[in-house]
Order: sequence, then structure tokens, then C-alpha cells
Amino acid sequence: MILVLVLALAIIAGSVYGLHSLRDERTAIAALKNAPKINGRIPLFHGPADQFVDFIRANVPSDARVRIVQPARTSGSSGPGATGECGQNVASANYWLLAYEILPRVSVCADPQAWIIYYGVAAPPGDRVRRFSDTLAVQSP
Amino acid sequence: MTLVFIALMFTSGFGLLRIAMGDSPLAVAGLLGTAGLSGLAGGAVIGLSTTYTAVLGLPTTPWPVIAPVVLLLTAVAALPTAVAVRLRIQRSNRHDSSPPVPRLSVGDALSAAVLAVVATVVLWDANQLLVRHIDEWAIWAMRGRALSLTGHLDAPVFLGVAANYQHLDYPLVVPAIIAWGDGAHGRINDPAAHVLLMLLMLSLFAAMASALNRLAGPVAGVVGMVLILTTPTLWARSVTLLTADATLVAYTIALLSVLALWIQVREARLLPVAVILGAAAAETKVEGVLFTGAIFLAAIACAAGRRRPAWIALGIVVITALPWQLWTKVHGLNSDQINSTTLAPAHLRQVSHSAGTAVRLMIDFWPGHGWLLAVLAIIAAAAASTVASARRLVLFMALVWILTTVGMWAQYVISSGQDDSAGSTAAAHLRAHFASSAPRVLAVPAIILLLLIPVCAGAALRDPGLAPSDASDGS
Repeated sequence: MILVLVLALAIIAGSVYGLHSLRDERTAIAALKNAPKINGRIPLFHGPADQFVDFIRANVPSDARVRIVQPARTSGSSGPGATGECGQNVASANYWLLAYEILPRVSVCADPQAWIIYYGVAAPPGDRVRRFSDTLAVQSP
Repeated sequence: MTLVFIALMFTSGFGLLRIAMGDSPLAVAGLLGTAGLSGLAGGAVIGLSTTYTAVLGLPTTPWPVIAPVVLLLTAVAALPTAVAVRLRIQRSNRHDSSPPVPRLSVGDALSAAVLAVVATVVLWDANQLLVRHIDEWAIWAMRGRALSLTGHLDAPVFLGVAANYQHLDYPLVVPAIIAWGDGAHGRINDPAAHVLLMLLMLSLFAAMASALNRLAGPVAGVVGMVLILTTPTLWARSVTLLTADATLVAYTIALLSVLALWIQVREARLLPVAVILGAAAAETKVEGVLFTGAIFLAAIACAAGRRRPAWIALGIVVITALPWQLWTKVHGLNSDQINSTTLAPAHLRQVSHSAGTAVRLMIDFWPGHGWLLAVLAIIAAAAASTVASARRLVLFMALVWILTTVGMWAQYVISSGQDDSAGSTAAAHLRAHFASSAPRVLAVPAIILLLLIPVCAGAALRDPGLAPSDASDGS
């Protein structure tokens, strides 16, 4: 008798919570369905970098290695304005997102044959630099 | 094309099951069980073949290796019985002494109806799912897309400590399935990857429900599905993301169900299925090694007279995991939580003070809606343990829960830190670690606890005469 009661209670409680879970899943999908998109992607950078991704894809060969240069975090001995390369001492979430979005272009460190991606950092003058904005640019090797 | 690649996952899984069982999966697992196990085995085919292909330095795109393996297994699945017997793929078209498995029992039909509703709800608009979470773009989707777009284990990504690529020791089953979805279109395809991973969870429902119905009566499967649905964040988060948490749940809970059935009904042909599921679980996430080991060890403890084949099965699982483990060790890639540093005696002495805190945090962060269902599970286990025919099953389930829970507790303690110079305490670090990970990684032991309810209550309520005698050992 007690086991029948346990099963009945489990079904009732499970159904209530289970329906709640399914509703949450539907809500998550509906939020994505209604989210704004840029070229089929969710604009996860929340800024100009969402379009910069397409600029990189158009200008950097897909088999290229890239050096991603970002503003360094102002911690420890690093001063404001210093740059960080290949994900070291930078805003990591943005670095990983950019590295993901531009695959199969792979992020490397200190490779002279790599393209340089200036992401939030002013690019130097020169013919090899193609600018998306003042602080978003790519530079061929 | 996505539908073709999805179908190939299931058909190749069916072919692998046929080879592993030496019989038609339908004869061993019935329709519902076969459908679920085929999906899970197909995911294992894609995941493991990609892993082995990758560590051998071969291309990880569908051609020239992975798709031929999938197609070969699909051809095995399609062989007529007479040809399969002649080729010794199907060793006999006569069933052994085990009781015949109905193609679709009443319980399975009921479970299939509920599963159809759940699948419709879960998959509706799933083609709208896109990468959106940091665990996707920084880890799992990153590795999957590196496999599909660079076409091999590209060193800067998979060995890229310098370039700050993350969790390089994480295994490749989920990235491989993401890459398989991309391969269907020849480009990145978020919806295909999401649907493939969601189908693994739905395959779990089919496989588990079928096993529970045979173990514990015709409503056990439905109760099991409903209880898994209650797991907080599993459906709204893990199932809709390209991460490995839901896939780990799928493989470990399916393994648990199959080995519980093996213990209780003594069906020797289920042990190779457990090997496939265990191999996939161990190659899905680092915790999968712990869960797989715990489930097999509990089965060995409860399978008096059949321990040797179970040890051999566990040994095969270990062998299947070796290529990736060796590749990571050769390249110096270690877990950031369990490694030679965190396992050093000095570190273990330092973190031992976190043992009590970890217990309290496990209780605080245990995935569940209050403790009602957990209390019901304990009552069900206690009551069922007084029924002789259910005792071995209760012992198995309880052992698995204890081993997986203690294992996760140990992982949290070992990976806990110390007070730092910035004033943060070790307890604060540990709480933050629990807050970010516990709802995901404790889902497996939490679900195992909940499944005590249908398994124990159902088995105890069944006619005791259904329990097999020790003399009818299927091994």
C-alpha cells in the first residue's frame, strides 16, 4: 500500500514539475526564435563586433592563422592601454566568442605569418591594414 | 540532408547493436528499447569513430572515414536475417533460454505515447536553436566546429594552451556529433547539431522506459520519464545548448537502466550494450569516467556468479577510452580539477578542511524541487528492500547512487582552493564553483536517486515469481 502511495505521489509531483520544465524549455526556444539576428547569428557581442565578424570572414582567408589583439585587462602591472594577444590577460569571453565566430581561422600567438586582428585596439597605419572602424581592423602578414 | 544524417545515426546504431548482441536488437530489447538504444549507439558510433580518427591524425569530416563506418554499420542493420546468420553477424536466429521480449508491451506502448508528446514539445521549433551560451562558443561548439571546419585535430585549437583555448582534455563525443550535423550541410549548422543532441535525450527516454517497464511493471517507464523531466535546468538549459551535460545524462542513465536489467533478468546479450553506452559516457565528459566506473562496479558487486563477464565488459570500456586518454597525456593536457597537483598528498591535506563544506553545499545545490521526491525515493528503496525479489535491484541502484554522489563530493573537495590574498575564502570559492556547476554535474546522481522510485516500488509491487532464480544465469 505504501509503495502504491509513493508511486502516486511521484507521478503527481513529477507531472507538476515536469510540465514546469517543459514550459521553461519552450520559453527558452521562443526567446531565441524572437531574438534579433545578424546574418543568421544571434548578436552576442552586443556591438559593432557583430558585423566585424563578417568583415573578417570576407577579408581573411579561411585557412589563415590569426593573432587577435585586444585591450589588456588593467590588473597587476599592466597599465591602461596595453594590449593583450591571443587571449592572454584580456576579456576572455569576448576573445573566445571572436575565436569561435571566425573559425576555421585559428588563433595563434607570435606567428609572423599570421594575420593580425585588432579587436578594440587602434590598428597602426599601413597598406596592409583593412579597417572596419578605428579599433576594429585586420592586417595581412 | 539533416534527416538523412539523423537516420544514419539511428541505423548505424542498430547495426552496431546487432553485431554486439549477436542477435536482432528487436528480439533483445523490443521496439521501444531498440529505438532508444539505436539512437544512443549511433551517437557512440559517430563520437568514438571521430575520436579514434582524430587521434590517428585522419580527417574528422564525414569523408573519408566516419561516414563509411556509419554506412557499413547501416548495411549490417539492413541485412536479412538469413544472410546475417550466414555471415555470423547474427549468431543465431533462435533465442536463448531468456524469456521472450514482446515487441511492444502495454507498458512500452504507454511509454511511447508519452514520449511522442514529450518529443513533440521538446523538438517543436528546435530549428530555431542557435549557439548563444559561453559554454557553447568557448568549449563544446568551439571544439565541434574546429573538427568540422579544420577537418582534423588542429594543433592550435586542441593543444592551444598558449592561445587560451579551453578545457583541452575534454573528450570528443559531443564535438563529434556537432561536426556530424555540420557535415550534413557542408557548413556550420546549429539546428542540426541541436536536434542530434536532443534526440540522444529522447533516445534515453525510450531505452530507459523500455528497461524500467521490464524491470518494474508497465507504469515504471512513464514514471521514470516524468521524474527525469523534473530535473531543474536540464530541459530549459542543458537540452537546448550544444554542451555535453544532457548527453552525459543520456548515456549514464541508459547505462544504469541496461545494467539494472542485466542484473535482474540475466540477459547476457545486454552486457555488450552496456559496453557501448559506457564507452560513450566515458568519452562524453570527464565525469562520465566516474559515473561509468561507479555503475559497472555496482553491477559487479550485485551480480554474484556473473562477475567475470562484467569485469571483462568494464575492461573493454577502459580500452575504448585509452586512445583519447593517451593522446591527452602524450600532449601534456591535464584536467584543471583532477591532476597530479590536486591529487598530491600535500594538496589533499590542505583541502580536507573543505569536506564538511562540500557536503553542506551538495545539499544546498542538489538539483531538485525541494526534497519531496528524494524522500519518496528513500521510502521506496526501504520498502522494496524488504521484498526478496527486489532486494538485489535495490542494492544495485542504491550503490550506484552512493558511489556517484560520493565521487562527485570527492571531486568538489579535491578541486577546492585555498584562501587567497584578495581576501576570498576557500568556502566562497567552493560555493561559487557549486553555483556554476552543481545544477549540471549533479543532475546524474539526482536522477539516479529519483529513479529509485519507479524501479524499487515497481519491482517490489510485481509478482515475486517474476524474479529469476540464480539457476537461470544468462551468462
